[in-house]
Amino acid sequence: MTCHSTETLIASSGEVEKHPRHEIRTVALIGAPNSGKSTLFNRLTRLRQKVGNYPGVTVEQRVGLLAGRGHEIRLIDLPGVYSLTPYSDDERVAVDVLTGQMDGLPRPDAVLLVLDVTHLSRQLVLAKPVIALGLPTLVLLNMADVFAKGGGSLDVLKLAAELGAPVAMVSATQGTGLDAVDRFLRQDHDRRPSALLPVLQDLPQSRKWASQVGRRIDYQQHLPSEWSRRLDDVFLHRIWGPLIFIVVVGAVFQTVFGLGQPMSTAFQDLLTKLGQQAAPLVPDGILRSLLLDGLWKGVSSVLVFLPQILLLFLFIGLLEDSGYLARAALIADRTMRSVGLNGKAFIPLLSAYACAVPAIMATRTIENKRDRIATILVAPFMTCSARLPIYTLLIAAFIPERPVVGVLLGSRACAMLSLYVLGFVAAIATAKILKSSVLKSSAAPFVLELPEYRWPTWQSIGLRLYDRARVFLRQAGTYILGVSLLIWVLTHVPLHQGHAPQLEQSAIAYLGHGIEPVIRPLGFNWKIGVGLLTSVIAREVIVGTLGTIYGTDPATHSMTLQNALRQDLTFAGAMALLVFFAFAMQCTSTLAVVRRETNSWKWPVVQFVYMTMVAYTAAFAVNQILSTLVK
Amino acid sequence: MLQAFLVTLREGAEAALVVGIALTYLTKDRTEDRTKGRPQPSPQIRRRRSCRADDAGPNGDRKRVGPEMPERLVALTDLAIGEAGTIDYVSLPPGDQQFLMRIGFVPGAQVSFSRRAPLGDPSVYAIDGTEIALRAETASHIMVRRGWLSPLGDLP
Repeated sequence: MTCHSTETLIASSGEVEKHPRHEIRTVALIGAPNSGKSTLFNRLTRLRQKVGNYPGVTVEQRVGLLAGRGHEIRLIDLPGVYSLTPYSDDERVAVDVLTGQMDGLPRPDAVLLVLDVTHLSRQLVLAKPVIALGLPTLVLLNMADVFAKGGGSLDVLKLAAELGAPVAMVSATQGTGLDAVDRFLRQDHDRRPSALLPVLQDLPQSRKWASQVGRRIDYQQHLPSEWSRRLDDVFLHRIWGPLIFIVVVGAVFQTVFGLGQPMSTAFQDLLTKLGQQAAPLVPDGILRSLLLDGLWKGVSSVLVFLPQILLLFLFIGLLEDSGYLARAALIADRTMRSVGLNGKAFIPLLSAYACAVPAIMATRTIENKRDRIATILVAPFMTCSARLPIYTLLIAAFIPERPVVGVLLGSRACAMLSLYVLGFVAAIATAKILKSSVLKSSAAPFVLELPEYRWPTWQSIGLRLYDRARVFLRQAGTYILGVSLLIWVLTHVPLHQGHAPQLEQSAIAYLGHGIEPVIRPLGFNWKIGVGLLTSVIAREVIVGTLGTIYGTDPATHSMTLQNALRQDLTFAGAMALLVFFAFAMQCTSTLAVVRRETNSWKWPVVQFVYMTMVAYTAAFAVNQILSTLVK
Repeated sequence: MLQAFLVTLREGAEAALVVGIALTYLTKDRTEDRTKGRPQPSPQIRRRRSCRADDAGPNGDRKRVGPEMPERLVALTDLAIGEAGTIDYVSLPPGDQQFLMRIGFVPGAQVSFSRRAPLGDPSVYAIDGTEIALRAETASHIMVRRGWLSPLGDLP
């Protein structure tokens, strides 16, 4: 496979005076966006990494471990930046980490600077301020394989002399040349103030410097592959472009929704079986009930989303790594702009039809913070698969099947479709409101780089899936565990002669009765109220809760849930309940993910309050209007 | 029955997508006219560009148009597909200007108009060997000096 040999050149600069002063314990990895920095980070650290957020900002912090000389070295992945002038949050974080001003992180002992060698003249601008910091720096010229294949060349030794830092040619995707990093870290380094490079703040002047350096090091631009241009002629064609886009998007949607749904169901069955298998291991009684009915059920209600999340991220990974995602964003931008969002919001919003949790995680591709938050806030309005159980239950119970458009569309399918439209309209309206008020001005103009097409590598996609799965399980899992515990406790107190009470005598039923005055105008009784409370964990939980309540009630004991509901709810109330579920934010996993992704409690709280208000108002209107009409 | 619902929904969503995109596509020309309020080519420039397309030979004979062209400074959006220019200045708020400069839109940089997105906007520009898409609302504030790319890639 190695038809070209990527030479590993470590060219040391001028004076090489080595003083075994201090060993390297912390290394920062910095580079421009799209320089292949994340791939390199994954390569270097394998799976030994920790993902979090920098304090106070929505910038992801990734710290990994490298094998060092007898001790472990921490590798900090800095956000992709174009310069060290603190202009955005990303750049502020990079500067703070590099200068040792970031809370909880020591000042790095060395820096790995990643530059995309295929666009060296643009990327060299970043080299100057980074090297000028005076930390031992290794310059990694990434994409060496693509560069060599396209006939590009440069004098690495001369570049090292120009920069006053060692330079190595690497390829993060192929994994070649990375031994240079090991050798660099094994060396003893000396902090020396680097007075070699004049630091120019003025960009045009930096660029001039960069192009002069380019000339001195005999930089030969590689020829971009003809393939990219030819593929773009098709993928961005006036007619074929949008058609291919629709086919690709349809395929992703179909798979995540069509294949992910049965996978989730199978996974759920597996989890339930696991719970049943484990049951005899725990002594019967309150402990088993807590562990299995409370915690395990709660946690597995979140775990069932995992197959869909992985499927979605598999597709996003394939699309992003191949370079098509940028083209899709380009095509969608025109349409998304009419609602005030940008093209990169398309894929997240589409995936929200399957589940809002991965959709919100997928908004990471939107660099513009305001657009990203707007996308996060509207995503849960899209009709996710967790709404389907209550939708199908109520529609089957209250809407008689009648043909509307011949045999093609029955009244029930029609009702379901209108609920989808309702969610979509709410999302669009909310986006418009947000973008014309709170999140109005864009932080930066919409800029989209179209990378060359590439074959995605399995390793890179595998790492991405692993990463996302872990983040999801850990972060969303902890909140879910808490809420599950709370609801279990509420259904089991107060104790009745040392036993758990009937559901109707439990604290949660008490709460259900408590909120009854509030929900009565919507046409709901206290039983629905309990369902609304428990379904805060996840929307589909309401079906299970209603099943339990009506199942234990002697009056409705022998009926199916459908019939019981038909006896207990008015038509107007049922429709109001449907509308309520179309709008309400009944999903703790989503709230937890929003909390994580925005790094503050503000947005999930705003979202919850707003969506509940919209849901309440709409359900109120539906109930009032329908109950007067039907009478 | 649930299965039937799902199929219908899926087909419905896809149909809606097709119709939506087709509609946007059809209304494209109308929306392009709406953006006229922004710095757009003056009628003369439009005329000039059209006659240039007719007049200029394959080797890009600029001289014929040159003398009657006191200002050759145009917005990036006024370039024809395949045409190149040199950036003269960027007239955007300082923050946005800095941002554009970082990705390569600095005075003196050579840029060429590669292609339009299928729905007309944004447009893709090649700069520094990279393809970057900008919306017209941004690109119309980047002023360039027109110039056909000579085989050697340098401008007079």
